[in-house]
Amino acid sequence: MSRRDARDAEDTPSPQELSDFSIRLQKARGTALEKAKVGESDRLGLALRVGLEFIAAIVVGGGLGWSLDSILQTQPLFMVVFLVLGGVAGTLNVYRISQGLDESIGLGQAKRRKEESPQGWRM
Amino acid sequence: MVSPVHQFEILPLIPIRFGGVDISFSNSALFMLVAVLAIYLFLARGMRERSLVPGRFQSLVEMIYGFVANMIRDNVGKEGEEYFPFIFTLFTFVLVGNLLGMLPYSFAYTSHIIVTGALGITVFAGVTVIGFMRHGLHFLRLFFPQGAPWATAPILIPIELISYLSRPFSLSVRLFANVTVGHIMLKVLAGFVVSLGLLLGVVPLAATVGVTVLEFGIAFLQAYVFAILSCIYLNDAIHMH
Repeated sequence: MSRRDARDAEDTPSPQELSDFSIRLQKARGTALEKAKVGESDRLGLALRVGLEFIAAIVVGGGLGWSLDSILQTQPLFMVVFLVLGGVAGTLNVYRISQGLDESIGLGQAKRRKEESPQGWRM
Repeated sequence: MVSPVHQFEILPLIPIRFGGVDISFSNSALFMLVAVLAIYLFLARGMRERSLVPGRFQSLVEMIYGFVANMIRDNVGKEGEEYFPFIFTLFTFVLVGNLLGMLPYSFAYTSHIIVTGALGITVFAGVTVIGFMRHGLHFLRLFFPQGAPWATAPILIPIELISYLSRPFSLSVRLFANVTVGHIMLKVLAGFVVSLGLLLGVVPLAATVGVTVLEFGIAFLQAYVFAILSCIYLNDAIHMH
């Protein structure tokens, strides 16, 4: 075989090589996806997110109560009530994240959705 | 030495007062304008040739397009395609804002809660309106789980409502906090380099370099998270169960 032929053979891969390549590519993609799903930094992100979602609900609840109070002149009735409700909502948020039910509005819908496709998006 | 939060100061570049309200053209507004122009020029430059075999710029543009299009297809499905322009704009605006903020002497507008909050509330309000448009008052049923006794409604509905209303808050705080904390950390670490001197200063300098790399990662990740969460909320409003 001349040098030229050898180079041609290198440049144009055979169908066999091509199918090998696509299998390897798929494998590499699969492992990359799996790695991305359960990484160390992912868990840190999840932990930070749980804290944020908990506090977010309390702040929103307190804010809602405070504005209701200032509109209706009923200080501090609604703020107390809504702070408690905000705490409950924050706990609900944390529960939903830990159960993977946080992608949907409302617990009922989230549960139905999870039954259909158990693998959701996690972050 | 300047304080680590000095970099977030809003400076009015062109003072404008309109009806007693300060609407000055600030450095924040300037960098938003720069971001929009940069995105526009980048997209226009990339698509100028429209060749079948893309060059460097065109590949980049196509990559970003494909990335966002895939994100919408995976998370929202076929019906989500009509919202592609919005998600694409959101993603590129946040991404370029984060990246512009990484340049020395620049200003990161995503480090202000008023900016991320406005973006978050826009997404939230839009998604809620879409939900009502598609399902009417049926959309409200989401706030009460099916099968629960009616007597629990006065407690359950406010709780679900607060949980729902906390979404734009956590969405915007996540972006704002990540960018702000990263920039403060960089400034503090860099400050140590000066105060520790030539010999010992090498240690915080190395840390600064490391954190800078991390910050670039966070710039991408937070833009991605912001866009994908918007997709997920959109999916929720479109496909009600």
